[in-house]
Amino acid sequence: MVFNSFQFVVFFAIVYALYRSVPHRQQNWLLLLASYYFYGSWDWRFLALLLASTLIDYLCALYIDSRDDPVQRKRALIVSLGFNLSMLGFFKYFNFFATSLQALLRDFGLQADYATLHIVLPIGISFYTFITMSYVVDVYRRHITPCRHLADFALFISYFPHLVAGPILRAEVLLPQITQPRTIRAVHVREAMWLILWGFFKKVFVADNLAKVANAVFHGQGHQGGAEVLLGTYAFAFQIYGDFSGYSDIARGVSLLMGIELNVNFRFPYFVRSATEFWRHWHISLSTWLRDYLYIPLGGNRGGPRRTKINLALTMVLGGLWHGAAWTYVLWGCYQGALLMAFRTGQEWLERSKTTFLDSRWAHAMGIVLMFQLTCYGWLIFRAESAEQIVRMTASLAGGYDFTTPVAASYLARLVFFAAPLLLVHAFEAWRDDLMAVLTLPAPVRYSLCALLFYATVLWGEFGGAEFIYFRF
Amino acid sequence: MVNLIAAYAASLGIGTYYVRYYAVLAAVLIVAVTGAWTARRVVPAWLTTTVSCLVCFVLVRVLLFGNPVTLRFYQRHLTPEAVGPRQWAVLDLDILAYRRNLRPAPIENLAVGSSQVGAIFSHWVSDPPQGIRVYSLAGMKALDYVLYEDAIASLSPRRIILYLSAFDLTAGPELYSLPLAPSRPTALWSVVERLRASGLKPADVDGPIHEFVASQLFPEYRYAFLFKAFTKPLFQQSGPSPVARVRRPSVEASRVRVAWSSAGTQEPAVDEETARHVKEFVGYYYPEWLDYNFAFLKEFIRFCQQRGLDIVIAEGQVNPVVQSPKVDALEAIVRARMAELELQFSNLTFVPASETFRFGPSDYVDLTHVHRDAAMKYTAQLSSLLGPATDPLSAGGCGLTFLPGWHGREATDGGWLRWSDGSGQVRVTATSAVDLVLGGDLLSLARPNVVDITVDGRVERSLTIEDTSWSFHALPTLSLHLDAGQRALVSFVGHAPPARQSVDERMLAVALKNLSFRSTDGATSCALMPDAPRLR
Repeated sequence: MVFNSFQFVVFFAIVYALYRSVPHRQQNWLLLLASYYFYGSWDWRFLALLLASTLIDYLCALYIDSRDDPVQRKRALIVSLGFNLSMLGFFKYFNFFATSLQALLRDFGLQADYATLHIVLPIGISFYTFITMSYVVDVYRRHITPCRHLADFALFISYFPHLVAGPILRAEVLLPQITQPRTIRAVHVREAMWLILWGFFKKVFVADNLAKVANAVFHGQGHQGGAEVLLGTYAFAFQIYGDFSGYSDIARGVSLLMGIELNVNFRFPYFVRSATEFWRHWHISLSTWLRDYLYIPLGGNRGGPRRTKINLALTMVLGGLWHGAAWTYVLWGCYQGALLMAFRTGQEWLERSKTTFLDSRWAHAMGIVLMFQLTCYGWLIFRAESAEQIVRMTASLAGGYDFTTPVAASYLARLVFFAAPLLLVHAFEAWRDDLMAVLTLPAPVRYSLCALLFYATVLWGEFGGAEFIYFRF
Repeated sequence: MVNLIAAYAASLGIGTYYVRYYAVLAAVLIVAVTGAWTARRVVPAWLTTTVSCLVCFVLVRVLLFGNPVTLRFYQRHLTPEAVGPRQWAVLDLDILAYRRNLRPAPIENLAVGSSQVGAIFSHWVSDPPQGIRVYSLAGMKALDYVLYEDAIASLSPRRIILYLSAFDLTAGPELYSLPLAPSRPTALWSVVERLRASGLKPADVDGPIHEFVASQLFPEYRYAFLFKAFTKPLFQQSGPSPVARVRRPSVEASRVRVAWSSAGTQEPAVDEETARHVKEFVGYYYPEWLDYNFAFLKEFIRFCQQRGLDIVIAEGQVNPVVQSPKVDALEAIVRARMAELELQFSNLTFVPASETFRFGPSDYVDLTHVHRDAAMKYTAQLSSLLGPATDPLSAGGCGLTFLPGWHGREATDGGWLRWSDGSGQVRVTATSAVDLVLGGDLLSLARPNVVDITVDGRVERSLTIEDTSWSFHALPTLSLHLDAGQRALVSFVGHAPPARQSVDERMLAVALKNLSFRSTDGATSCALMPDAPRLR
């Protein structure tokens, strides 16, 4: 059941009607039942995994909290992390490593016939295992006290707006909102309606339309000149942004209607000037998770510039692998790590040389354009299906650009038509530095803009119920 | 005053139905706006905002999709190629719908179906002249008859002509047409239920059903194809299309390649492209979808029966170059099932292809569409076979039609009689709700004999004739209730087989004298209608 489906509309209408008519405790039970139904609608068998993860982490957290002995606490932490990582490793990476090992041995002339299992990836497993792991680690670090009410804890893990594609919420953000009674104010409803409309626009109008261009280019259809590859990569950049941030917006909007605020997950990531900034604006809940639970435990920036860069690179490689079991994701992680190291080196050099020319408006704009190109090349690696394709498409990018071919012209037209409205609204929001800037516009302008977005979504949107890209992660 | 406006609007070609529609809509909007404005200090701000938004929403809807002027604008600035053949036809029919009068003049014949129907029945020839209108949508299937049944019935046809072959009735489900169906929110769930029960997998049917529901509730979604068509030229390219979804490419192309409006030109009978597609074409007969298509066809016939509409199904033909044992076998199955339907529904007449003009390969411009000349030959023969469309409305409240299986009328002392050849049936049609009583006398050639009187296939009475003398017996009392537009098929079937007399070469079973159906108060008597044509 995806957000852009008929089932979800009916599901949410029923859940919301009931939600508004019962008191707080029953609301939590209702949301828990609804969340399990929501998850079970994909494959009810995986509910067992969700339940197992919930129970083990619930018990481990209580145990950790009740013990003062560091050894006992650590053992319980290891049990919890071990279970979650094993589950993630088995369902997500078993086949990947098995086939990779087979291929490696074959290259050395050895025949290895390891079985690969037909393992179906449980939807959202990367998201909820990260949520549960962060919870147990936070309890272990004594940053939070554990939740003693099992149903509330189960709801924290399975809360349907964020369950399958994030944001990856921290217990300190969501648990208090679950355990305390909620009030739904008019401003919540207003913001929620905007987020839902904007989210659907990004997904159905922008992402699903540009997916046609990106798919054509990445499936190798037609002429693959520099212009086509460039436009296809740009199309994918807007597709993945529209898709993922659209999902996050709808999730936030839906949750806000129920009085629960979720974290902002994207903040104009294509209007940044460096890789460091990019990761502060793109999939914020993942990048902060990686920072707090991977980068900092690895040593962070405490071991000097060289060690910092190594930690950054390592974090990004693992971050890449989090996205999926494929070498292209590992490569993408390496690329992001390399970018972070390069920008950090550049920043150190700028600080030493006390240069000010980058502060000008033009340099600022050029920085955004340059960073967008670097980000897009990262998306090319991310979207490619093989290393060979990356090489081929990179060679095309290095070749000539002819934007007058019918194919390139058509791609360009699609890109402008479907991405320009998104960029315009974002430019306005970025200028005001407010994700809700639209709601501050005068009423006639605001309503007209909403009407335009609504009609664009309905008239040009793709309503095939296409899944969100991040579901497969 | 209203009538004056209506008459003036009708003179402008707008149509009286929509004048009233707009009048009511405007009144509702004015009341809503005035109410919200007057009560703005009393009602909460959110309610005023909601009402204002709804009013704006409705106004935009009417402006963009709900009036013939805008739709004509779209039609003028778009092309069938950009929009799609089915979508273009839908737009055309939607514009025509705005000319709908509250009491439309009846059409004698309405040919309904795919572009094949358009190609044939746009060249209607009949003697004596009788009117015809073509209601054609590219690729129209049995499911579409059900989706468009209200729109079809609103044209008040006396007779609906369908042209269906095994190719149409073995076609797999093409649910892409669902979102284009005219809005009928009241019939929404029944269509959805039928689709769910049609044997399609939920995974295949759920998406189209959701699109169907969305388009039924929101015209904005239904008309999205217009706006996509406006931007299509921007996105067009000569290279491979980025649009990945393609349905039945070559067959669909061969079906719709020749629009019926341009089918009058002479083209090579079977061009190279067509020949290439022949093999593929035969592969598109899916016997497993016969039940699916017949279920919807039956539904449509039932609907027409309830509305008092006659249906003629002319057996469709395809280019003889595609004939094969498989196609022949399927056509035989379809004929047998049509015969079964004919027995089930008193408003249905099936005309096998053998009774009509047979198209040869040279009559076709492709695998399914014929030339104008061939179409004219076909329609001339079919119309003479069918005779003029009868109108039970003009015959008073109730009509009585002798179906094939009766010998000619004979005068007898005190009235008339007709002999049946063993399969004689009569059809009783009512234009308003009526309770009828059967009257008349019966003579059986074979004696003793038992004659069953059935209504719609169910034995209601039996008349036992024990004496062996040549004498008429009064028909047993039989009451029949018919609702407005309803029909009943009454049969008189003897247990003894028909036989010949020494002086008469005809096969004779029973004779009915002065057969009548009268209302219980005696005020109305069913008028005798012209006999239904003998087709086989």
